[in-house]
Amino acid sequence: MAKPPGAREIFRKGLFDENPVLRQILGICSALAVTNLLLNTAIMSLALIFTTAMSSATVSLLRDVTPPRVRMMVQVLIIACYVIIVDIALQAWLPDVSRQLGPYVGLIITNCIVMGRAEGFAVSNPPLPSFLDGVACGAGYGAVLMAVAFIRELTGAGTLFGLHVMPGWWVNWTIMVMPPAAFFVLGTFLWVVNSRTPKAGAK
Amino acid sequence: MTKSRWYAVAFMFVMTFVFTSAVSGLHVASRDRIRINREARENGILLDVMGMGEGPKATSAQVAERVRKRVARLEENGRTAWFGYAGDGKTLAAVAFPVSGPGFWGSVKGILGVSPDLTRVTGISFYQHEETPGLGGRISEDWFTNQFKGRPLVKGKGGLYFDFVAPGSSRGDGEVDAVTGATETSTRVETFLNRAAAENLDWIGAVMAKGNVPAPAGNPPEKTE
Repeated sequence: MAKPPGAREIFRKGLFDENPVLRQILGICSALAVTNLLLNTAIMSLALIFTTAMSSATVSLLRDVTPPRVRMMVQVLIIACYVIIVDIALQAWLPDVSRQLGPYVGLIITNCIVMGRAEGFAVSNPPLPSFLDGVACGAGYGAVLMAVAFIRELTGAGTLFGLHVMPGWWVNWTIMVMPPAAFFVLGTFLWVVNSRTPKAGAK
Repeated sequence: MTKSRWYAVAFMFVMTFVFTSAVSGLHVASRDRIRINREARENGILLDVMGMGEGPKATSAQVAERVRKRVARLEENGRTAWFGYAGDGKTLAAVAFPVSGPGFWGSVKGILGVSPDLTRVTGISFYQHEETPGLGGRISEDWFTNQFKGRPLVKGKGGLYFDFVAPGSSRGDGEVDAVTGATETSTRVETFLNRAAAENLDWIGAVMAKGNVPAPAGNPPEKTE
């Protein structure tokens, strides 16, 4: 079996080279849905980091005893389990945030990044690198979401983390907190990033 | 060995059992906490809309105690109302009732508090909704709900208690600023709010005229205020 990659390489890939949102175009649904307020986005990102890291580590721990034919069922089971843990923890300790995020926490189960990392990395690597890979990819997802949320909350509501920062004459761009704006902002991001990085295989 | 069909079935069974047990265990362990959170929030909202809030620093135990001693609940023919009493436990301080109906994306739940003579608003809260965050979702923000405090409950233009007008153009009394960019939410809230207010005020007025107002469960009344 190939030697697992080091932590530095895992993070470089998760955050930049193979950023799940910008390079793999995964997790777009929630990237569009929860990015109109920074606080919600931050909690959502942390929830995804936790889920991806823990499910990757668990899938990796069980990789030698998991029958190949049921491995995806096992992965979904593990992911669902961690997502429900996050959901219950938010309801118990951060009820306000839980209410604001509504159904999106539960929908982490269907986030392609989580299963993508389990299937693409954790099934063939040891637990620690798998855990780090989950953290890195979750952080790569979170970083893009936070950047989108920063632009949307600042221009759409004139606030950052709920604090007013725009001057009095500023008129909020209402469209920025509406769903279509997420497409514009994320689309612009994708365009800029992909036009500035060399195409795959063009090294 | 991991290729055997029976191993796969057994493995899946064990995995499902283990993970389901873990989640169930966590659910049971945190169930009370989640229930307490929900009740504390609803109690706090109830006191706030009746102008009887304990303030933001109150613990959920203090809030629950105040509700027990000073709030009586009345249910009749599917309607609910809460009667809030002053510190002596005898003088009626405010009345509250649910104002719920369809919003843009889902149902909106709220409570409206009114003065004991049913002529003024003491407060309103939309505590549960599925409106767009940052748009229709702003109906639960303070700037919106604070507009209602102290407003007279008089039927104005078109027989409405509350008239939602273009943001920034409210001139007081029954007029309240609607939410920018959320015309659908505003219109729907205006509709069910007026309907709920009309229906409940008639009913509560009749209950009070008959002298059927319940007393708080936590009698005898609080000694200190």
